[in-house]
Amino acid sequence: MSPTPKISRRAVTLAGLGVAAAAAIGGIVLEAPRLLRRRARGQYADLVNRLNDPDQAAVVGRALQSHAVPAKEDLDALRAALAKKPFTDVIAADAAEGNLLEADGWILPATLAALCILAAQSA
Amino acid sequence: MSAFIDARTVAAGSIIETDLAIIGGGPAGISLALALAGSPIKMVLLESGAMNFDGRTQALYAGAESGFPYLKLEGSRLRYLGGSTNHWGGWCRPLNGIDFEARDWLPHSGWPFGRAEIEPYFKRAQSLVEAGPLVYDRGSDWTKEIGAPLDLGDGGVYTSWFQFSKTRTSFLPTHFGRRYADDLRRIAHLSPYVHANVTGLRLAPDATSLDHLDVATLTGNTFTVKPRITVLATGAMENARLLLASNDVAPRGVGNADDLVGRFFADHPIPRDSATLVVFDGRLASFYPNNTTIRGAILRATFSPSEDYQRRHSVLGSLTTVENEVTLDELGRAAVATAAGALGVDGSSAKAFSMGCGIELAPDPDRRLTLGSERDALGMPRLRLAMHVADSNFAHYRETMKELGRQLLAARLGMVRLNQKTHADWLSVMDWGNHHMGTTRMSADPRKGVVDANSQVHGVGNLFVAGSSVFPTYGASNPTLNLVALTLRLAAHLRKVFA
Ligand SMILES: Cc1cc2nc3c(=O)[nH]c(=O)nc-3n(C[C@H](O)[C@H](O)[C@H](O)COP(=O)(O)OP(=O)(O)OC[C@H]3O[C@@H](n4cnc5c(N)ncnc54)[C@H](O)[C@@H]3O)c2cc1C
Repeated sequence: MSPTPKISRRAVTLAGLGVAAAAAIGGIVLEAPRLLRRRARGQYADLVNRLNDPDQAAVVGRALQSHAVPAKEDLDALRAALAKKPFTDVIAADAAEGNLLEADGWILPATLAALCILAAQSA
Repeated sequence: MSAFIDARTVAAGSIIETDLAIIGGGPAGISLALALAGSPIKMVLLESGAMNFDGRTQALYAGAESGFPYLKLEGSRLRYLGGSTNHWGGWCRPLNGIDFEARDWLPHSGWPFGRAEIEPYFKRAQSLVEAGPLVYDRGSDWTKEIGAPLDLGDGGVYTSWFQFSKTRTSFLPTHFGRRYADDLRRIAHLSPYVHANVTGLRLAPDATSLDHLDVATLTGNTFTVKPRITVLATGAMENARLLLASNDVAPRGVGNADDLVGRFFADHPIPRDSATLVVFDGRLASFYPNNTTIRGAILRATFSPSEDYQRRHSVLGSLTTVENEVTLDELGRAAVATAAGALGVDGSSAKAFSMGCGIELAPDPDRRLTLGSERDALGMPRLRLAMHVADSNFAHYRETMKELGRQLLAARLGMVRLNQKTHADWLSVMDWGNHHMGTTRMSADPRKGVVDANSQVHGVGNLFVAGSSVFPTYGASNPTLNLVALTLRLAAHLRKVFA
């Protein structure tokens, strides 16, 4: 995983000049995927960088502050699972099995929530 | 065609004899009279109000409330011909099979019979409430040309359906009084009285039968009705009030030997913005957020826990509807973008909707109506409601919505936010269905119910109760279609009794 210089969200918006423009569709205004998105660094960068946008994930992670930081064994198990299955399938299977966490009311697959917590830590 | 009789003009002190007295001209009383129209049974219908709202009559409904915040007793029902259908919403849905079952995890649950007992009456009930063809859980087939329900896959929540009452000539739901006044006038053996307030159910000295009814008008007139059989159909609050207040022979009130009358009061909490629904591709069939008219039926999709899920997870019923589209805050946008991305789907067209719901309450003997010391203009003691709603009722609902969230994520279709968590959260969005139920509950066992499986008051051979006051467990469905069906079943029983 090639380390990318840590760029603040504000810097991205300013530097991107439109690249990070908000897309207003229907009721939700989602930020368009950034070309210059931040890459997470650190021990679990390989996992966090599976997420489309670690900055957005960090926002979710901050709402999960009351939850424990994921255990190393669980993250190792996740790495092992990802060696066999695509990331998106692991997340969907997690939901299907009812492994869920609540982030300020948002129901999330527990694995995704764990990655969001890591994203918040590394932000 | 005979006219309605103004009780104010009846000779004071007269005694009117009849086969059947129906007290109350709401949907229960009116449906009963209509169902017995072709029979030779001589009927008297006693209605407190007349054709229109009248402040003095309505004031007879005032009472006091305490505990969990609830509606004003006089504001949550109407006292004139047609009863509360004069301002109802017209939402209809039959009770589910599970609503009738005794569940070991739900104390005081269960009817003395299953849904099959009232099934034969839904068709006629549906026609009386004017909700079009009986579609309900065939709604997905019926609406195929409009769109498909969300494919929620395997799981505990499914798309179910409401239907709506609508008078043919109006956009409003059927007001039973206005709609059926002429039909009542046409019944040869019916004498319908207006301005006729029943103020006492007078038992024979041995307390095993009802001897006569005291009737009073707000102008001070009084007279007596002496029926062979009486059906009390004054709504779930007033049914309890009349039974409790008639305590001259039975000191605890009629049918109240076991102190059950007035207990187990229920309504459906309908908290607003209970949850948020997100659909990743932004496509949601119009029958979720809107009432949709198709081939004579007005349909609206609703999320319901399946009976199997309710059994396995010990959760109460609920019905969740999609309301308006909403914008999300920063966290919401981040959650949607992160989840859609992690599931490998495009969330760039996602839309979010606020959802509202109707929740079933667990039966609770302490949610209770009693008589207060204040009296109304006719000298009747006013009601006091002790409202009591345990937080566990809301926890059941959260569990169901969490399951919906699980299904949406597993199907990579969308996600859910549970918007209310604490007691204070729920209170801040609380509204009520005005669906009064449970105060004269039905049970085969006289120690556990006020009426038996035929709606006859235990121990009083000629007194029956119609309406949702007899519901011992409530389900999440709106009551009126169901109480009309149950009343039609009572009519069939009364035909046999009179035969
Ligand atoms: C705002 C509102 C919205 C609602 N929306 C819906 C909905 O969408 N779907 C649904 O299913 N239900 C709805 N309901 C509930 C529905 O209106 C009731 O379930 C239904 O009206 C009950 O019928 P009933 O005949 O048992 O009692 P009522 O409608 O209460 O009728 C009782 C009748 O008895 C008369 N009466 C009372 N006391 C006496 C007395 N002492 N002597 C003589 N007559 C008396 C009254 O004047 C009245 O006419 C709503 C209610 C309200 C208030």
